[in-house]
Amino acid sequence: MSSQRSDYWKRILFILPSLLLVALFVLYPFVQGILYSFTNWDGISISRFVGLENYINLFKDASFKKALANTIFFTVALVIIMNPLALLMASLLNSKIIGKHVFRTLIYIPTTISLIVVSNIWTIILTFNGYFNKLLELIGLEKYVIDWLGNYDLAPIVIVLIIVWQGLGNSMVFYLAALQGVPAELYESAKIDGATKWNNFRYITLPLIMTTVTVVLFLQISSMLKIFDIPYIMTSGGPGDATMTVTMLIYNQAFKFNTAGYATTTGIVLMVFSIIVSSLQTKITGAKEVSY
Amino acid sequence: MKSKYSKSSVLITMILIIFSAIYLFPLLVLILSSFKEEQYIFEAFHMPDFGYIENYVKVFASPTFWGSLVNTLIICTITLVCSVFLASMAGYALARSKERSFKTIRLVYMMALVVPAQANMMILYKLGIFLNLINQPVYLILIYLGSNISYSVMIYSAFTKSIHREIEEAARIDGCGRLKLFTNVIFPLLRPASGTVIATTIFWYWNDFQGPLIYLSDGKHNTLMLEIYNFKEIIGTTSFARTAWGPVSALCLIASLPIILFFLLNQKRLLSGMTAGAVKG
Repeated sequence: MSSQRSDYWKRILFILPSLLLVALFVLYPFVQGILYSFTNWDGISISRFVGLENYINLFKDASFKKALANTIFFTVALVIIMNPLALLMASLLNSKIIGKHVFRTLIYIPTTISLIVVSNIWTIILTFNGYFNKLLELIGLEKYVIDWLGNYDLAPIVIVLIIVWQGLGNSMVFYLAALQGVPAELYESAKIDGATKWNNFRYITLPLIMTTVTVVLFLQISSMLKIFDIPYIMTSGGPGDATMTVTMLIYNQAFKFNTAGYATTTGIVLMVFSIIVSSLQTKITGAKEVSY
Repeated sequence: MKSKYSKSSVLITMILIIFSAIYLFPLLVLILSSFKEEQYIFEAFHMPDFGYIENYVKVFASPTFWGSLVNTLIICTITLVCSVFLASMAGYALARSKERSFKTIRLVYMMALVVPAQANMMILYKLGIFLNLINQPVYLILIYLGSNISYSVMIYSAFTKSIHREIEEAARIDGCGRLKLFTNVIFPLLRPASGTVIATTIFWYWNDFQGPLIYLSDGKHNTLMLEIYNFKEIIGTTSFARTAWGPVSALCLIASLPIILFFLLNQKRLLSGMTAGAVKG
């Protein structure tokens, strides 16, 4: 009996160091943040308890509404553009060709690079006198030459395309692993039944890779709702507020406007929002999962 | 039949070659820019002289460059080593315990997984000042460990469940204690899990920009990514406050090469480890 007890404490000791780290650097700040979101904390001192004032102000705050709308736009646009492309690349790589590992590796390389490096590369290409406009001039499309990062309407979509470029390899690798797990016999028998390629995809492939779709969408959505680096470095949220995201707004509220209590409020609202979106998404796509 | 089959695969290969070439063109731009004199940076058809290393000389001459390289290496190594050891122990104990207290602990890790770092940023900054650790690399390491270890614990816990209990029971009958059992039997068996954890998280630590931007903001202990940012603002500008893209490109290339090489050398294990982790986690 006593040996069982000591074994219990040994297992607790195994867990303790990592649990302490989580408690001190995630849970404590989180609870503290909730408390501070009800105060007028400026980062140095708290003079009074303001109740729900921060929350009420936040939902009236035009800069927050715009940042949230931008963040949602980034997320939705990325999901729509990235997934068909990643699936297409994965199925090309899943066919019987020579050197598929080489292609997989090449397309994955941008994923390994830091977002700050990615931002600098694309600034060189997309700046007004940069490579892309030079290319447009060369092929006779001068009339389309614009400042791609300085255009209020186009800058957000340009940023999304850059993120697709950076992250395509990651989603593709997940889809490739899933496609390799679909048994070939299923396609064989569908072929006998005279199924078209689209029907194969719709009724065999897609249902069987749905588990992976759930995971990939979860990863894409949860990281996009936190998007910070690329717009911060490339456009600083501009032109105007065209590419301002919620996390950039939190950073500005905390470190530029010295409204720390307000910043924690925004952080908490963002967290609640991401939990709702992610759980809805996993529920919806999870319900479509099948196993054979 | 056979010739038709190879025709389509030739077509696919062609598509993939063209796609990859366009896809990697931006990286070529970076390499070329790092060897160009400033006035030719945006000249797309100007072939640089690869003997022109002035841009690299400027990078190495930055007083904070070598320090930032060493810092990045130290931060990555310590964070990875600590998280592999701490998370494997916790994940193992969690997977092998049925008591209610352990179920509560598991819930704590799950909750920590959904708290985004941004919600905690300001409080952690204050905590750093209070602990007198702000602007110290060790504080960044602690924050990395705290905010990512839940993920690693879950991965280890999932992998532990696939290890047969009989192996452990046999060892315990032989009088092997928990700790010895873990270090001699379980930890080696968890190597695929360690692979997954390292494969996924090393890129977060090497490439992170927001963490150093906030917690190492005084510029005395730059990481490579913060060095790029500060270099672009200070040294990497020409006299008219315009970015000097040549040296900035050289620095970007130097900061990316180690992690790209790490990926290329370990790609097979990294890619399979990553997808395995996502399915189990």
